[in-house]
Amino acid sequence: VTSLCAKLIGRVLAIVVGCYAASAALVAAGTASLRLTGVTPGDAFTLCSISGFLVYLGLALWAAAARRLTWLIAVLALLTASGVAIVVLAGLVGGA
Amino acid sequence: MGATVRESLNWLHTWTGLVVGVLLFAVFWTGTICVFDREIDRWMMPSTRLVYAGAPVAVDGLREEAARLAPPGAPWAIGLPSPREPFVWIGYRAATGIERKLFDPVSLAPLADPETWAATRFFFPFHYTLHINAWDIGLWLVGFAGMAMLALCVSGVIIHRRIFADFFTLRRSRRPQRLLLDLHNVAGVLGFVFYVAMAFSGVTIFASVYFPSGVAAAFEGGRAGYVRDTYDMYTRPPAGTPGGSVASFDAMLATTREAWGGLAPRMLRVLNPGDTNAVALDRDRGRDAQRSVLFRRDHRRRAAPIHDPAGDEDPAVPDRAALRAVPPLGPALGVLPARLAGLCADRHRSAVLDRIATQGA
Repeated sequence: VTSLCAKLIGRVLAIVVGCYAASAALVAAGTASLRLTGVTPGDAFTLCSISGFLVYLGLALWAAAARRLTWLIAVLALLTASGVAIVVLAGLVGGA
Repeated sequence: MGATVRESLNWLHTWTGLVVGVLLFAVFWTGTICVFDREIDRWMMPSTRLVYAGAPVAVDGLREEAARLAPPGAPWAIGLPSPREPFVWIGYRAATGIERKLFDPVSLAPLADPETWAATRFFFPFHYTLHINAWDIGLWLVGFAGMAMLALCVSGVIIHRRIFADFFTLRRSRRPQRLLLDLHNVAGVLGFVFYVAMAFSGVTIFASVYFPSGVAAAFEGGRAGYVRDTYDMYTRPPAGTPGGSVASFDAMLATTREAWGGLAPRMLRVLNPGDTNAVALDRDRGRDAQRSVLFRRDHRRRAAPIHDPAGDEDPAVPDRAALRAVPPLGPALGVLPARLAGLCADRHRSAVLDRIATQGA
């Protein structure tokens, strides 16, 4: 019973927190990338944040349906990490 | 959480609906009420049931009252009447929060304190904050409910094997639960586009709250930069020199009305009282764009706009024309915020502006 409970809590946390973290990182990555190509701040943020809600929606539905919890968490962590990495890289390129 | 995708999404649909449903009902219900918020205000505030024919208000008569009400040196504002809000108000920041005193638009006599938040100050903020303002918890809860609504809509379609046939099914002869489920299907399919549009536009309006990561990545100075770039919020630091008495508000309003082609200003703000840079700022809400006129107030000169009121140019704010046309995606994307702003009702934009005004970005 405890393992079932832990799995349930893990799944809900992955849907609510994990998917949000991934989409927020991707929104930041997209915004930073668009800024590098010369898009204005307002346009870059508007486009990426609106898309970000759709990304979150897609990730949340997939997170509910995904077979294995570990695989799910790994993918969400990977997405979050790559988003953060792109933001950092964009900052380095833009600052140089 | 099931053997198949359909079973998993069924699990998601059931439990999300159960947990978030009550909150969603409260949000949708108060949102519907807010369509008639000004009318509910008039009903709950009998002293404000006045008739306003649109004549210019002699605002100068309220200057002494405003200076008396507002704490020394603190900014204050005068709200001007409209047919749906037929009274003048003086707003200022007191120790207890933003206070408003109401006045008759013609005689300028003080009106009885409404002693209620009515619809514009209770139901409307409840619609998107639930009046839980600490750490924006209410905003986040409503945003979560909005995303849950989107997930409910999409998962509801996926879990239905025969959505077309089910739409035409109403089994009254079976158990009541079966009848309710059939009704649920019909109502869900009929309103589907509206449910998606309401939930999606709702979360999008507060995108800057829900995706602070994007705000930080896009704007220099984070949230303050976002407010500066996105809204015509003209501000000006005090000059540090006392300005003495000030030019006529009525003259400023007349100039503004002329510059806007007869469009009446809705608010006059005094940002730095008693300073030569004491800025009176009129803004208009609820038309195609929000426009501001900035005045320098000086007792020696007649009130004169610092910049062309019909244009956007002001040395104190970033060049807004530049926001509209930057390659390569600029021209295509430039219309996007404006379109969105047009799609969302005026009240929604004013929700964002009110938050900015009360929290100082």
